[in-house]
Amino acid sequence: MAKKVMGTFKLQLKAGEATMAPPVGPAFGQRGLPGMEFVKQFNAKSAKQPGMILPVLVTFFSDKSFTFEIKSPPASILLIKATGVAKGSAQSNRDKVGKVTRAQLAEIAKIKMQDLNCHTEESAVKMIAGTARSMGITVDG
Amino acid sequence: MATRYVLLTLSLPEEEMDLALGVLSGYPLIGIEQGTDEFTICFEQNDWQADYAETIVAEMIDMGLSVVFAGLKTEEDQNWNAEWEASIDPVIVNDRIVIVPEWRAAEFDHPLTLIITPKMSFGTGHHATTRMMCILMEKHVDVDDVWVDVGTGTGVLAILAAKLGATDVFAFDNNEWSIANSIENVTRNNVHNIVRVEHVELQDVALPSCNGLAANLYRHLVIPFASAFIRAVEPGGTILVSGILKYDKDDVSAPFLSHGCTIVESLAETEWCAIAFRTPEASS
Repeated sequence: MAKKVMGTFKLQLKAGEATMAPPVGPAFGQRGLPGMEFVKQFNAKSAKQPGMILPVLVTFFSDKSFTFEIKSPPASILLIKATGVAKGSAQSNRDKVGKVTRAQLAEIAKIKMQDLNCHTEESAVKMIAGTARSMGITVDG
Repeated sequence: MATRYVLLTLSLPEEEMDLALGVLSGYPLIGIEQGTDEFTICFEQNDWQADYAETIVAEMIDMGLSVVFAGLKTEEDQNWNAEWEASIDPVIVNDRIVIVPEWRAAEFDHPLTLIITPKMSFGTGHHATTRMMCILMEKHVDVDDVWVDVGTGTGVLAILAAKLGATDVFAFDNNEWSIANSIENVTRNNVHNIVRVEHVELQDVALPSCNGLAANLYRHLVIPFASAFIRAVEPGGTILVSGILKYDKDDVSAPFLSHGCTIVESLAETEWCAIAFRTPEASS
């Protein structure tokens, strides 16, 4: 008999640094899932993206097994990394904290394409540019 | 076991989550559990400052986000894994090796019955990386050997080394739960005169000279410490590495091969691999 999907949950975790501390321990523990195995797998699979916060979608099954999918990093964090700003501007209309080039936007759009609801790279670039403006990051060119 | 955690819960529309993460990335958080229009941000209490909740909410509101404070609580460290651990089945590695929780031990008479009752530590045999290490150790541990187990978890590999005839095994980990749990398991298996467990970070440990070293870790820990492992192991000795994804095998092997080690064998199961290296006969 095929195992039954019991549910999903979403975490945001630092690449390569997951432990059984919250949120991983309680999220897996309360569902009776083997959190230690998740830690092993997530760290192995995310270690090449140090410093990134990565969204993870966990699906768990009736036999206490699970699968997970690591999504692309949030656009805001990719923009912070690309521009070197400490964080977004609190007054993004007035105070500009940095600049991002079209080429950098295209790079970020490529990374995000798989998770964005966009059919073309151009629409993904527009979406990332919107995030940049909300953070007080000016699009150059 | 005195670690405490601070959990800050905020309400926020899911579509604003991306921008909120841009704000949160500037704080020393452990991670976030994301619900429907609500997320809980987790900090170690030692990293938490009293004004964080107010500051984080204020920064998000200034960015135009529709955030609302929804709760703040502290949580004691505990064995989050307990429910799963209470339900585990024994793992039969091969004809000789079985890994079994204490309450099922009487059912097995394998020559190498490893009694492992886990307590939020890795190494029950349910994961391929541990099973492959057991198979490699069975081939490579000799009677009267000295072995080192790097990142011992439940202590399962150190205990196996002792049961295979090693007379001195040094096991260490940086995790407090692992230290407590491996000591319990070492006692359960009656190898406490052979296995010595220490709570120490990999970068701080003084590795003893040994015949073999087992490291079920991660690529980003094995690669930078490969030369330290090679220095600790005698010429012609064995280094067993696991916790490696198959497509990382070449990257992980490179520092060992560049120091004159050879690959004796490697095993693979699903997407994981384990590698046995022989250290060079003469030091390079």
